[in-house]
Amino acid sequence: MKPLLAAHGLTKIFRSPSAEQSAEPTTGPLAGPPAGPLDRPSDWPATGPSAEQPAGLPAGQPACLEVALEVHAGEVLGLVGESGSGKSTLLNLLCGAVKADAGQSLYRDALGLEVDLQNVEEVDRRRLMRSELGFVRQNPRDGLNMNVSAGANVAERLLAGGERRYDRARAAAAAWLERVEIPVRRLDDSPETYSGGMLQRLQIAKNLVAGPRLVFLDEPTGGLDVSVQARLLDLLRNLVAGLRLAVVLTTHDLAVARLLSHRILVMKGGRTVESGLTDQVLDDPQAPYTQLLTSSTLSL
Amino acid sequence: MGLGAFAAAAALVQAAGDETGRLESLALWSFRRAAKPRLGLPCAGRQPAGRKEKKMPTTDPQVMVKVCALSKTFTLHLAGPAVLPALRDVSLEVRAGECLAVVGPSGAGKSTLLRCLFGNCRLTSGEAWIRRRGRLIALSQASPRTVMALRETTLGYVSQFLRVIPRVGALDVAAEPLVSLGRSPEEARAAAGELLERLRIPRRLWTLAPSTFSGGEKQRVNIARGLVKSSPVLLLDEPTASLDAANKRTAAELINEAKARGAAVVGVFHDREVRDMVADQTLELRPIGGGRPLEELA
Repeated sequence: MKPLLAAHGLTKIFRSPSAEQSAEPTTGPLAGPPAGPLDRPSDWPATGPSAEQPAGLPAGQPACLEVALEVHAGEVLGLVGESGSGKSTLLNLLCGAVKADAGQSLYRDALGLEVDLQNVEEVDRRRLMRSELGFVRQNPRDGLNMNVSAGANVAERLLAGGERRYDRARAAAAAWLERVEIPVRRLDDSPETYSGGMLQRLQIAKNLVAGPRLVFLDEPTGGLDVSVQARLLDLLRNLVAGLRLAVVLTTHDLAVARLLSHRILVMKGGRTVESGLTDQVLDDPQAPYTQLLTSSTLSL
Repeated sequence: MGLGAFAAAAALVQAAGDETGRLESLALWSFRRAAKPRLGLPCAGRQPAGRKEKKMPTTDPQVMVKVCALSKTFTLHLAGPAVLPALRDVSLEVRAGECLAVVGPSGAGKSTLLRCLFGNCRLTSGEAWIRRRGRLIALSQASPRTVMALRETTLGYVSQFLRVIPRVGALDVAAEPLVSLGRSPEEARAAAGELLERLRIPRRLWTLAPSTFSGGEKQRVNIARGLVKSSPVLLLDEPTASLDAANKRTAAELINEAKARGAAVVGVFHDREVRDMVADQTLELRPIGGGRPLEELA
């Protein structure tokens, strides 16, 4: 079976003005060889071209280096790692929102055609993002239109997808609010009146209403208190299993990764350190960095 | 890892425009394929089958689980690195309808052996096979997706401790393996309810999340979850450790019923009575390296 999403060699270097001014490696506390695998903080190699960086790429901060991954239909892939390990950048590279310096992100669309999200017309990419793909942002305010009602936020996707009847779009929006456990009487309220947990659920409804095949979740439970988080995780688990969605999610919480994902990819300094079955990577970690991560968790 | 190697090779091919570079990187790729690194202790028995010569370890179609010269070593990078051998040169064979009881003192690697068979631990050397739909699957070569398929269709695993999921009730915890197989929630709940009933979990607890349950109740929910699928291979890690006499007997009956329908069982039973009721053969493990409690360290 062919994967739904296959990425090869995704690389992104964030160019800093200082690196562009002087091609030579900067000296100072940031320069020098990258620290050992367990010295912290050692997330990013020093500015400027280093031995770690593949040749032929611009100088700057490497955020993602030659990351490859595959996601199949109905599969949840978790990207874990500490802040600055390149998880969010990778998610943005996968969906094409950020242009990579090298690499491809090949998505197999509903017609079975392969689309490189890194190399597709922006119009087509946006159409895909509204229909077959979804992106749930860590801060729901980034993924919602705060100036229109909650119902309009959800119905917008349907109208953009060709729905021409207002009553049907409204009914679908109401059904989705119910599904994500938001009282339907709040349909016409502004998202400004919603709590943080409700906003996140509204954003999930907005992203799932058009029936996507692949959804990207950026720290879906970040910034939520534990009871709201448990409710959201429960919702996500059921939605993912019920809709046979493929999901790529980032999280720094290994317990969230264990609960939601089938496979995980451990990232550090923009590279993949280890990957495999979630429980195997967490219970029998091979790489020193993964062992550090799992042993640093309070309870798994 | 294989994917990473492929991507690296692919990137090399792209980067190198000329023909020599292309050949070089292709050579590197085939070298990686041929020489799959195998770390750890040399295995005394049969060498694991390479990718090219895929010899089946047995021709007996009744053999469901086979382990040959399996060794498992944990390398703890944060402690030195410390190298902790957990299993050395373990071999076993379990046929359909048979139960193998793994015995040995605490820290002998009993749980590690079951975890290796479940795909929860990587094998350091040697090989383990599980039969799925007539074919023996070699675990050291199996991709994550293959292991996932094995767990879905073939393996039933009862761990020592139930991993609770927030907000999910006992009945749904026990029914979940069937739901993920594609059965309807009603059908799955009915099957799980039957098991919970037999294991004497009061109905009023069924909708409650097991995080508030007693140790014995959690363990019984765990048994129901592990047995609900009628898996052809059962891995049981001390399923009766915290059960009272009546529930122990029920658990043993359930295991015997599974055997009667043809399941191969590998289990750790500290309880002699239960072991005598279910086991057809025993495998004794001894701690390696002074009997350190490896199960806890892992």
